[in-house]
Amino acid sequence: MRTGIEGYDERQRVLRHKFGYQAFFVSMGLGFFNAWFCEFIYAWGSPMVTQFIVIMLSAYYFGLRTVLSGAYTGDAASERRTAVILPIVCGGIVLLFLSVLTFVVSGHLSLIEDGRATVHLFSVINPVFIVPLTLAYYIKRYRDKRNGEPN
Amino acid sequence: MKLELETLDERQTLMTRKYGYQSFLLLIALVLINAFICEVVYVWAEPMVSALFVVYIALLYFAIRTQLRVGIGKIKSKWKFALAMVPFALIGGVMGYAAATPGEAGLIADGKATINLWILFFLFWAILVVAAVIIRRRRDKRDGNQAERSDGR
Repeated sequence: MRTGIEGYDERQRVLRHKFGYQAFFVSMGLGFFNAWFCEFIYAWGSPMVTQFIVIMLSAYYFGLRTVLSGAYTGDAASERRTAVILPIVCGGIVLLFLSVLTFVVSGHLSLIEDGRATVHLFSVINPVFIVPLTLAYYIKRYRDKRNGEPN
Repeated sequence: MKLELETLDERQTLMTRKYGYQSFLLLIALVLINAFICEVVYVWAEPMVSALFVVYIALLYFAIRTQLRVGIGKIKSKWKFALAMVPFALIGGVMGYAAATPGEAGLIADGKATINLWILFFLFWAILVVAAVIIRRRRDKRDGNQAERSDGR
């Protein structure tokens, strides 16, 4: 079934696969380490929060490498860019909004509870990773434009 | 003793990376689903056990796809290949024995999956990967024989 999302040239597809392959092993390593750490050293957060943060770090590595390599720039990539990046950014905004709402309603926001990270910590630090990624994307586009390449 | 693994050509490298990328996306989806289930529905296993299940399901997809389509880690000699499988068979046997013998906990304890259940899953995982390797080797041999017959040899 064709999704209708096209527009990547071969080089961009190869780059995406390459960094996704690397990110897969990064996430496995982090996942194993996190599981071992939580089991034998210290459960630093609930399973959901720790796994979210592990995946976020891997996705950040993948995102940064692909954005800086130009896998998401160019006219050819515009449709996929919107289809992939928009839900991630919107999801992060929704999470942050829910945490802000919690703070407004209850008057306090626990980032750490009983020595463990909460989901609010994840929603607060999520933008810390997304903002530099977005900046890297626009820096890449600016450089491409300055060099006369399609952006 | 060198095992003399075959080096990957460009097509194999590209396909391996493609399946790695797909496995990464699968891993993300599995982590999200697992986190949702553990947090909202039911804590079905301890964090380490659930993480092991999630990672090995993604790894199973990667291993099966690459073995069947790419054949990474091909060992040229048949007897050397059999010799390389011995450590895996030994590890699998020891782990299977540990899982099968009654110990502190069975496969399910207090309504949660235990590490013993994961060990059985790992055995299942290893069997599937070895089966994929054998299928690919037989297919390569058959394709090689067909190519020889078409050449008139």
